[in-house]
Amino acid sequence: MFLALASLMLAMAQSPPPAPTGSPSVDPASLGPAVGQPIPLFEAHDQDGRPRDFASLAGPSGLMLVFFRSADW
Amino acid sequence: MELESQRDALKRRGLGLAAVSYDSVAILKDFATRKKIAFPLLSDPESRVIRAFGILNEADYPPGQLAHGVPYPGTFVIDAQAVVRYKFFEKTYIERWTAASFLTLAGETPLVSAQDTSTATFVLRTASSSREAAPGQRVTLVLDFEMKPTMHAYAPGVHGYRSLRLRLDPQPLLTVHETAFPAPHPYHFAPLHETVPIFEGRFRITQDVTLAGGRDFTELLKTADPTVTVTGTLEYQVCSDRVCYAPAALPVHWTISVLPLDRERSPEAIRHQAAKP
Repeated sequence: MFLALASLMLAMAQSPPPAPTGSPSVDPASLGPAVGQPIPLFEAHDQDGRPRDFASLAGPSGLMLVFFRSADW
Repeated sequence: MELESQRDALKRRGLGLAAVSYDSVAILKDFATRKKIAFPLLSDPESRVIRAFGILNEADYPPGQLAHGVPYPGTFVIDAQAVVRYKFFEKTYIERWTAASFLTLAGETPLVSAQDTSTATFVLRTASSSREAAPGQRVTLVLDFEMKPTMHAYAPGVHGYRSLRLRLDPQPLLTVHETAFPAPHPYHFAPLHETVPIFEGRFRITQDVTLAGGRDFTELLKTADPTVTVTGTLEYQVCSDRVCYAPAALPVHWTISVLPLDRERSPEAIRHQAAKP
């Protein structure tokens, strides 16, 4: 997946989105809930079409939740 | 893929693993099958979860673009009470933090050993979080020290002694992050009436590096064994309660195999389509 994302920088067919130079105004450390803050409730379908929420994804110590750009391009 | 390979290590720490994108279930199913991914990939085609987390990237991808709806890429480590414990968002989109790097920073082995060095005053074992990385990925370099009895090394911030410092030789294919030190101990040396910050016993310093994402790895990847060798110098000064040794330096090195980029896309029929104007 990370590798797939990295491929974005390469010229590809299907008019890939332009690679951002990184918005200078956005401090990535400020994005999303801060350390010590609760996450919002969420639900989404997994690759097998099953609805999943935090409780169904977390282990006894919690969850590593990765946000990535796309599995398509 | 990197996360799948770390899934067992995460599981041993009691952590579940899931990844969210704005892709359809069909795209994620195809991707999971091709990449042999068994952990949950969550489909968020309307970017509801991404918005709820406040990480929708509309600055770079305004409405109407194919990529409208994507998040700023990043990772949360969330405890069982649903509270964020760690958070990793990189400055440039192509630089990827890796699960192996997180596990190393959280104290998890296995690490890949690099070298063992024994000096008169300490033993140094170096390692890294991964043997290999793709352009843009982060690797944690590890230096484990075992000071000999009564010996101590000086910590950053000390005056009058050479503090422990890792200097990596600059090279274009590598971004070097800050060196992370443990909290030093205060050491009172009565004859000089001074208290100084030191390290003693066993301790670990870590150094993250990223295979520089924006650089062109094409030529390197054409070679038979594409690797990046990280070289540098460890500066230090060690004293005991009776003897002070001269400031010294030690060469250190790590080798990282460079993985090719993945250019494969999902089948055309299920790809994202740019919104019609």
